[in-house]
Amino acid sequence: MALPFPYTYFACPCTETTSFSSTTDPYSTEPAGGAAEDEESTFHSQSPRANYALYPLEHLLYCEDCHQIRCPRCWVEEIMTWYCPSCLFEYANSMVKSDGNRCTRSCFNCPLCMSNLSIVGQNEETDKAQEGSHPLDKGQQATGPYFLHCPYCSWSSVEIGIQFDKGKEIYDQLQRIKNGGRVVMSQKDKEREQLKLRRQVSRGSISQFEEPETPKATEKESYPPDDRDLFANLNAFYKSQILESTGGSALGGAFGALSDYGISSPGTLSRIMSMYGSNLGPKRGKDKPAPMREAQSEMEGVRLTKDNDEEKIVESMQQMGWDATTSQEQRREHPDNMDATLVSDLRPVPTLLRTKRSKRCRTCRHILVRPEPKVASTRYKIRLLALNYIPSLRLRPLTAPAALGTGTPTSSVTASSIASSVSLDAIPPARSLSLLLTVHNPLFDPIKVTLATPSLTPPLRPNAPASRSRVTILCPQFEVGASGDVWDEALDVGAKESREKSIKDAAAALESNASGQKQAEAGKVWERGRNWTSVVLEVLPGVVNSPVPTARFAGEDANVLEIPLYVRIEYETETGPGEGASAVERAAGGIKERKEQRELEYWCVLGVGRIAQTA
Amino acid sequence: MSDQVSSNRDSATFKVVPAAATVAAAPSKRVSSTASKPALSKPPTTIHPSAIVAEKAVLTGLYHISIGANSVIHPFARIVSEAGPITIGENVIVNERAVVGGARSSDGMERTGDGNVEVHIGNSVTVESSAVVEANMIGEGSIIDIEARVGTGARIGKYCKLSPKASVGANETMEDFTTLSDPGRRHTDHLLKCNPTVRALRSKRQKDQVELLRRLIPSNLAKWS
Amino acid sequence: MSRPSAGNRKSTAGRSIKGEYIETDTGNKVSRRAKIEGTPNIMLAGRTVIMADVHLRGDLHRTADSATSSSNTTISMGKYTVIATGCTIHPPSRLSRGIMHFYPVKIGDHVYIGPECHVSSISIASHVHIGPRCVLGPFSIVKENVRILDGAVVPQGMVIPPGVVVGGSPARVVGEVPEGWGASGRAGETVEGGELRELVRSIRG
Repeated sequence: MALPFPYTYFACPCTETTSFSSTTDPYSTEPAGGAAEDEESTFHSQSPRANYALYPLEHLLYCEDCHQIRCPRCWVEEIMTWYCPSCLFEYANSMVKSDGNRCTRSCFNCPLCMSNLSIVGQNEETDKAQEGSHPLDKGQQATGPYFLHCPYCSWSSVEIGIQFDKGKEIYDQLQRIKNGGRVVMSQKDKEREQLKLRRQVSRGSISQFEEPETPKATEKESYPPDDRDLFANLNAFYKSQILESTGGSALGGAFGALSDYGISSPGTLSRIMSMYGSNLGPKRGKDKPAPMREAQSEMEGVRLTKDNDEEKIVESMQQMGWDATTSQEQRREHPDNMDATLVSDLRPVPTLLRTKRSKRCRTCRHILVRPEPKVASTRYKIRLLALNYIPSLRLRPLTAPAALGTGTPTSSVTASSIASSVSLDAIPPARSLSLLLTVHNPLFDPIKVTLATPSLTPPLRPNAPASRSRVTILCPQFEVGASGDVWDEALDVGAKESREKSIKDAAAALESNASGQKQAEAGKVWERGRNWTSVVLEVLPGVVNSPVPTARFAGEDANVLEIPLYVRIEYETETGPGEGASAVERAAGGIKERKEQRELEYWCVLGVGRIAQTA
Repeated sequence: MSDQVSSNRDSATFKVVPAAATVAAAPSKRVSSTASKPALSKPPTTIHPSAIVAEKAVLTGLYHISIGANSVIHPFARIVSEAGPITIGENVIVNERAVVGGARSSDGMERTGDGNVEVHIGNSVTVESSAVVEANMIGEGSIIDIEARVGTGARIGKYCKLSPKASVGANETMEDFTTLSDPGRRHTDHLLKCNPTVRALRSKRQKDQVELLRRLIPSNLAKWS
Repeated sequence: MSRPSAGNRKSTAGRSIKGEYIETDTGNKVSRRAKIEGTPNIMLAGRTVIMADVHLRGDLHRTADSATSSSNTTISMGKYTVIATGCTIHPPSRLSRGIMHFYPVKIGDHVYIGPECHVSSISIASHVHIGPRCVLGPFSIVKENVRILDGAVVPQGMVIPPGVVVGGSPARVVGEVPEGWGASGRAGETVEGGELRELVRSIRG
């Protein structure tokens, strides 16, 4: 994972419902099954499965009704808005249903490199060039013909013989032009053509598979129908077949309703029916329906491979070389390009639409995130971020004296600029390392935090017990003050005193630090602020040997020191007016009645750094 | 910045160097001559009066630098003729941070090849920011995009384009109308190749650009004369 | 708040005399080693940081005969925007009605541009985090809450929609930023896409 050290990932509790037993852990040195299955089992940060459970805190949401963390596995998404990422045009749902999930205006991606294509106008008359524009201009002033041009790799629609008359509505224009510049027949013409052909074929009866020797045949040969036509033909063919076979027989009529139930293989159905139908009674024999046949010609939707087709492809590949062939990614980009063998067969890819989505809790269906539907707006109507509900954990090595006293954790942006005597990319093995873990409380109630960690981290390599690091939390239980307005604290006298005290403490800490004497003590917190508390972790990193090339699991992260940490928080909070007891009861019962005890527990993984490898 | 003594010394080198350059300047001689000189020596130059060389542009080196008509050298662009003479054509734009010619060792490496240390940049070439051009030849109308690198002795054809961060190794060649994108993919620009009007428009655009820059960048040719 | 141009900075400088940065009245911190051309055309909104060896091409402005001759701003930057070392900001140019023009570069608030980037975009919205060594091509548009991964090459004219992660060469959308983008910063720290107040404050000298 790509976060810089040190990082903290949070495991969504929903992963506990799927078994995290040691049987799924290839690194486990413990015997499988049994004890590992129960509640005592710890989170295996090195398990391949952990990759699917761990998230940075800002990726997680929190359901206020379930009082639980929610991750992408336990929320459902609902599409609110479709929009084109390039022109930011919003598409109505109905348009997406009818026209598909691509931009139908003028946004295209390069079929070679997937960069956005620009529309380039070419001025025919040179004297008009004065008021024209540069070809790489977006084409507002340029005059036709127009081309699509990739500003990155210089692919242009010239290569596939396509140019446009207008600089707008390129999608519609492109629909009508085939590679090579041939204009596609309109739907009406197409239907008329097919009707004519079908009549011819039915007249020709048996000889239908032979190529009719009309001039049309040669035309067809040079321009084979595209996939859409073929599919339409195939669809029409099977419809007619179903109609014939069901409508033509009494049995088919009786079971004709079956086809309405979506039994999509009428061939098999009618075959089975005729099989059993013949056993039903002798009278059925006479008007036994003509068995359904399969499509057999292009007109019926089958593309017939000609003998020399592949030879042609091989030949052109030999001539044009590797660069003229398409890659898997290029073909996957759009259905039109799936059969494209050569670069010259590719078509520009209309830009895929993106969506804005709202998110619901899978369990209680409450909305967790609801953005404003407008594309331009980045605001949210509802946004229940986990980081506003669960304490965040920050880790940093306790060796940089400059950062002491201020108590502010290092920022991710300036992390590199802050001097640190320990390089987290090469932690010396088997040498004790002190880390400072800061717990921030976002809640408006003080929380009681209990931390736990397995005394040995999971092994980084199978059968390498030496790679396990020993972790000790010096103060596993502590309290973190409530979050709130900074001014609350200033106005509150008691808090003021405590603040003064904390300032004094900080000053004392600074002084002691100046003499280099501040020592981490077991059972005592290191430092405390208004809504944060830091404690010290002692880590004895394991020893990691240089990866053996043949080792199965010696991946690039096989020397990352990660500490699984179990966090449990308890706090008392006031329930809302709608919840709990009635007003009278509340008045009678006093303050305690309105308070509700809550607890939350989850696993985290603290990524400390990389252990320096020994040869 | 430039005292009289050093410029005199440079003009002395000017007389000597072209002869040395034509015999492809024996490397040993180049080394000794650079070692004896400060890093920013003022090179002998021939700059067309209509060229625009910004005050803060850097022209340095030992060999002759010639800049054609209407060419623009942006501030902080560097033309370094330490290894061999540099010829820049007409309507060429060299942007800030770009290096043409290249120091002998920008990356600590000795320039490869000894016959092709001359640099010729054709007409209407654009060298974008932070590009490094040590090439022997850049053809007309080519674009060397941001942070692209052209190695020593490389020959780039006409109307070529190097995408940002693309790199052409030493002594490689690129055919006309080729675009090289970052992972080393080459592609022919058919729009330019098949379309003389587009090419004409492009060169016109380059001229427009030069005229625009002429109004914006104060030129100080006297500094280099 | 008034938006004094960086051109005033020399007259208003003087709070720090020998340090790396010159600080203006509005809290802009401009490195003495930044290479700035056309300072009167550069607008800094305040608390903007321009680090060493940043090239700003403020001299490439719209020419006087154009319609908007009243303002010649070529580069404008919002509050708490940080331009890291070695960046180049070069306004893009193109023909408009037959005349070649440079177009201004507008950068929003809380934008972080990593070291050694090249920017020719016409618009970068707020809360954008750009990793090191990126190239933003001419006329590209970056919307709000975008993260651009290290070394990405955004091609000419690309529009990056709000809330996405882009990367690669040429850049394409590779993911979406989480809902908590920029929101995870507690008091006194800086996260990607979040408010850059603390970062700006921490830059001294």
